[in-house]
Amino acid sequence: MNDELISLLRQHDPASGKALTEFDRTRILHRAQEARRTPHRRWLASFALAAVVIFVAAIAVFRHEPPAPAHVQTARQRQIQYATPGGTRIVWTLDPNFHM
Amino acid sequence: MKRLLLPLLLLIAVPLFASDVETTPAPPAPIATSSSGHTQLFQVVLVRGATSGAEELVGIPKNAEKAIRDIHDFLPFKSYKLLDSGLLRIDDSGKIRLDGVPPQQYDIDVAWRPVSANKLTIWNFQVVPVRIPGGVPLGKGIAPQADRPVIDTSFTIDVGETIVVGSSKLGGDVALVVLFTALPNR
Repeated sequence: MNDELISLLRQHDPASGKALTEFDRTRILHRAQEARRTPHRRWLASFALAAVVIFVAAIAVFRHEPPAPAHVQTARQRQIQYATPGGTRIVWTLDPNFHM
Repeated sequence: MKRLLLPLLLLIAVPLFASDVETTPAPPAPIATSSSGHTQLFQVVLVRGATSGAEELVGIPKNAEKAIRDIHDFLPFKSYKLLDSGLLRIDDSGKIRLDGVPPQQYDIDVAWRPVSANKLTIWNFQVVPVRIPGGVPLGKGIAPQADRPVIDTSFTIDVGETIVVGSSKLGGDVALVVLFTALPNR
């Protein structure tokens, strides 16, 4: 069955008895070489892109780091606002480091 | 590839610059009734509150005295001593130096804008201790410490109103109190 099919295909092969020209052979070889090189190039491009993204992300992280506190001993201040029954408003700061 | 990289870099860089704009402190929103050319007079009274001792309020203005009476039951301080007082007429912002407990002095920085005819916003109110000269000289390469305000706040105030602005430790036995009044313009 298979032999019959193979001989049938060979009988009707349009390229049967023809040879590749030098130009076509060079072209096909060139394409094959290029295809072999392309995965490497793609990998290199991906690597370069990833490096750029990591570099930019690192810059962003360092830029947004909170600045070192100017006063290391400064504890958190709290502020409260309220009004007395007499209508006087009070804005009060509770400061753990307060001194006159 | 180069054609792809450039737009990509721009795409990543744009949010970086955009976030810079967001983190910049916003100045107060400009309003139609600008304070330029219109000054406001403020009365500033500096008082020390204490949990003990005698009250010394001789010479304190009437409005400030009423404010002290009002806060007597609210705050844990039983006696108040008038340290200094002054009048501050400013266009947009300015400061007044008042005497604290000697030799300490305080700079009271005020910046304001009108909200309506009788209402002002005090968008910056700071009480900064004045550095006392003649201290121990700093060593080579040691920068002096920045002046840290003991009070740094903002609030709105009606013209004619007295607001008590103060600071203390939680459970402390002394307090620095500023009785701040926006005086009506005459």
